[in-house]
Amino acid sequence: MIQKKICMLGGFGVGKTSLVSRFVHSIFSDKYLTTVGVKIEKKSVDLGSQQVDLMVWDLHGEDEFQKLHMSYLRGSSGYLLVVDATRRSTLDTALMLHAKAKWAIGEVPVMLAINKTDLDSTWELDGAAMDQLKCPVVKTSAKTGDQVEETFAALARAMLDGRSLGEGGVGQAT
Amino acid sequence: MPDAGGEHERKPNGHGHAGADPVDDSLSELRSLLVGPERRDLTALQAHMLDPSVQTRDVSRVLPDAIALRATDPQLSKALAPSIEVAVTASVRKDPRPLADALFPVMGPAIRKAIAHTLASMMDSLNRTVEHSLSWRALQWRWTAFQTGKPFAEIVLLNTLEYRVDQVFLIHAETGLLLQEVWSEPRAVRDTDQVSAMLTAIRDFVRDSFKTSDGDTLDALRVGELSVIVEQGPHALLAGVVRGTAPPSVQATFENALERIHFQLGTELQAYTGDAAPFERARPEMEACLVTQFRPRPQTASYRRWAAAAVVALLAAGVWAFFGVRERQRFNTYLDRLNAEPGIMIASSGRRAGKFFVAGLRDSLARDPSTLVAAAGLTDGSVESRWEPYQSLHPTFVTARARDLLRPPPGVTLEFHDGVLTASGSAPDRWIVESERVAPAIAGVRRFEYGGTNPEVRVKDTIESMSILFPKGRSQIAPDQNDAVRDVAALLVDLNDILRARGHRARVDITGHTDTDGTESENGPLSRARADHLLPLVRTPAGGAIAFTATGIGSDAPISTGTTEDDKRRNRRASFRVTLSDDSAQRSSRP
Repeated sequence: MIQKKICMLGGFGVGKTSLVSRFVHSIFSDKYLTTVGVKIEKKSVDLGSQQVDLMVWDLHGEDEFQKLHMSYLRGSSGYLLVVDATRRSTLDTALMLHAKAKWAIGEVPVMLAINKTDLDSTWELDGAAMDQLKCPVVKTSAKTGDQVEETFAALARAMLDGRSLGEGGVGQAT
Repeated sequence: MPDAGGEHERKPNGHGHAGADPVDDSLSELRSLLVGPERRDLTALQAHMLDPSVQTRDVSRVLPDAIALRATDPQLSKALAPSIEVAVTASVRKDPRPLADALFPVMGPAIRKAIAHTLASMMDSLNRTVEHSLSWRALQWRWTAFQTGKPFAEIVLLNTLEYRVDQVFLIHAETGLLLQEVWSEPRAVRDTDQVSAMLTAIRDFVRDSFKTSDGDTLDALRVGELSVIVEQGPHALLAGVVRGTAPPSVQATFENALERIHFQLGTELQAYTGDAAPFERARPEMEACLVTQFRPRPQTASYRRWAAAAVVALLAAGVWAFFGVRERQRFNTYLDRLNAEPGIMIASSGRRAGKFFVAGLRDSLARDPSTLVAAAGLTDGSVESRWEPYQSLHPTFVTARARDLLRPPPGVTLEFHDGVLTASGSAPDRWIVESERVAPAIAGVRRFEYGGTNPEVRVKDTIESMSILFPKGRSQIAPDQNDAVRDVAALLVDLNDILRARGHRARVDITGHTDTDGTESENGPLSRARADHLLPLVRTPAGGAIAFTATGIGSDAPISTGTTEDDKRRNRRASFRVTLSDDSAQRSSRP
């Protein structure tokens, strides 16, 4: 059995916690997010040949009230950026967090989840922003659970392979 | 080899070019001249390469060195592991003995150690269970367990445990991932992988929040009776969940364990990518950190000492009380006997300064109280006594004192009853009279009585039985009557004494008589003259208790009515009549 640490990063209210809450096991309440700024969850991913236990560090969305604790990123084997499909500004936040994470932990597998895709008022993907990210993008829905399992599996597989998901991966899923 | 090479050489040529051509031949010759030796070498090398037996020999030559060279390479271990496993399995299946023999020196001590450890902990827990199932404390704990609904074992643990390291985590420093975990039941924390991560997060949070200098970090948390101690190493941290209050020595134990783990598994820690398998090897070091320290039991010991002391004290008190009660009972017996003893009056008694005391009155004639002390079972000197002398009115003592004082003649017995001392038996009148006088001086004696005939009455009776005879026709006494006159006179003196002693009085009438001869006118004066004549002879001194009268009554009261001379002689007489006072008369009437 392999264990990996991953982080969930994204702006305030993008639905990081909701995204995983249906799929993870957590013994901590949500108030940790607003107090300590992180909540640990556990997600087991079965990759067929091997099972991976992901320790998911659900980090509090950075906003004007709370800063990201950079130290929480340390030791992460990969991370998931989450943006809100209904708010374009959350993509900018994600880009900034991506930059910070890169600075803190270097090049590790990363995926972008565009959440709340079940809602109608979604913005069009900005090509330039996508280029900046250089990572696979998935459209997810915390409400329906669409693509959530797949996203974690893809990230886990990428981390095991020890390669960047810059090209290929589940990129096709977008 | 060259011959074989030559054959090889020719064969393709012969095969490839039938119908030889001179140019080809010369070329071939040229070639053999130019590269002949190399071709031979090449051919030989080819043959060598294709021969498996030769290859095997070659590889066998380099294999030990090759393995030695890559001994530390995990890839080699990984590659060899399956084969070795299969080989070992096969070997055991075929004959387990060689492997068992080989492992024996290792397994023997390990098994012994494990058994000893299990037995020791079992004995310890058994001891505690036995101890705690019987004591007063245990009852209290059972009550607490009942009230709180917690298992009894937990209550016992809470109360007897000083501290116990329940759980130890080895956490990868960088990722916060749990590498290894050991625990002793009951496990305080589950979902330890999440807890490890959160612990790491909280440490980061604290360090970020308080902006401490490098190296300073959270090394302890405390929640109620649980605390978490954390020892930080370069690549890993060792966290322990401690129940109770851990002394600094526990932190030192963690520090040592973490150092050894880094020493043993430094490479693995650095290269950690998520596979925790290598850290199984850290378990012994971590298990060494699962320390349990029970509260030292001076409390129990002192409780036992106190209990023992209490038992001894109770026993002593019991013995003391027993002897005390027994002594008290004996003393009471002694008092009862004293009370029953005549002439002893107890005024107060009790216990003073560990000694019994008794105070009261004692007649000098009463029994010596000290002779009763031993009789009651008490030791000499265990009773202090103070006796004031007094005279008891107990009949025994009154009688004794009377006997002492009156000295009754032989045959006379004294009795005392209700204030009256009575003498019985034949006693001289003088003694009786003297006793009557003296006896009231004896305490308790109101009166002395003589049980026999009243002396007054006796004397009176004697006097009255006597007569003094006179010659015929004469008033003088015949000489033969002198003795009789003296007797009467003596009796009258006695009577006078008795009467005087008693304060009584009496009257003695002396009466003269005649016989019937002669005339009454003659006999009357004669009889009177006879009385008168006798009176001075018997009269007691004047002023005595007796008054005398002398009268004559002629022949009217003859003592004998006969007419013979003898009758007449007995009638010529003087008689006496004693009249005692009323009191005396009354007494004379008693039997």
